[in-house]
Amino acid sequence: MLRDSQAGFSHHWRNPRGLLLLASLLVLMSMVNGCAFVRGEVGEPFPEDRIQTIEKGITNRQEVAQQFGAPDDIVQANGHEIFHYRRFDSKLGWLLFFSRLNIGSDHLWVFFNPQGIVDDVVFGNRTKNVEFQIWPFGE
Amino acid sequence: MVGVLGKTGLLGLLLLLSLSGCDFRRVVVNDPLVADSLEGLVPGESTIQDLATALGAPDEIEEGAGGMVFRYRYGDNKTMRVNFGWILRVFFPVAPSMNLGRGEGVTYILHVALRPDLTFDHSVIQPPPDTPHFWFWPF
Repeated sequence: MLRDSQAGFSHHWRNPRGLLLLASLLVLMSMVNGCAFVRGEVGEPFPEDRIQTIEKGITNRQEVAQQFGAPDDIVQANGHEIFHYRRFDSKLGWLLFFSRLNIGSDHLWVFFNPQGIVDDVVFGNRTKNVEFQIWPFGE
Repeated sequence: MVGVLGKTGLLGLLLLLSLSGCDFRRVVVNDPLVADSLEGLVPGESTIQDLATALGAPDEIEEGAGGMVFRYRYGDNKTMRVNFGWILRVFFPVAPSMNLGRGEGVTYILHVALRPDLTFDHSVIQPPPDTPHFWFWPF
């Protein structure tokens, strides 16, 4: 069996076509880059059930902070205090010499009235549309 | 070599090797802004929730003249680089990098103004700038 494999190896070794093909592949592999798929996330996802616990006219500032932690930002606008929570998700696809990085952001805005009670909630989930893509051309 | 790979294979190999010195990168932030999604909004009637349904949560909220301004952003960046030193890898084990590269990026911004009662007032979308292109010449 050992003799058979040795014979096969020496047969391939003597085949100039196979050797040339192998050498070409090795040269090619040493010259081109590889591939990579990388994902980066900043912040925790906002589960829908936790967002639904925020009730307009009932939930206060403390309860929102207990559910979601300290806000990333507090904005004052039009007599409202607004808590802003953010989340980012990014996906990079890279193959040989093409790469594309898609970044999406989720935002949760909680509006409070002057008494510190929730007036409105705005949430947008864009990170669900973020995909791994490699081809950088087109849309 | 031609006999082993065939003419098509050889051309493909040459194309792959010549592109190996190139680098095409694209970074896309969020989804494209579509002006059509604003068509259903009625000034003085549509609420914040209608706006959130049409456009999602804004990236920024600021105090506006007597109300608020919601701001949405979409970014598209393209970078191309050519390493002219790459060809030396064919002849030398170590080759210096000689890169020429260029990046172009655009940001699309949509402003939506709200009245003091937090109903939709008007929107401003910037005219679409030229889409970025892949090109390596930096001068």
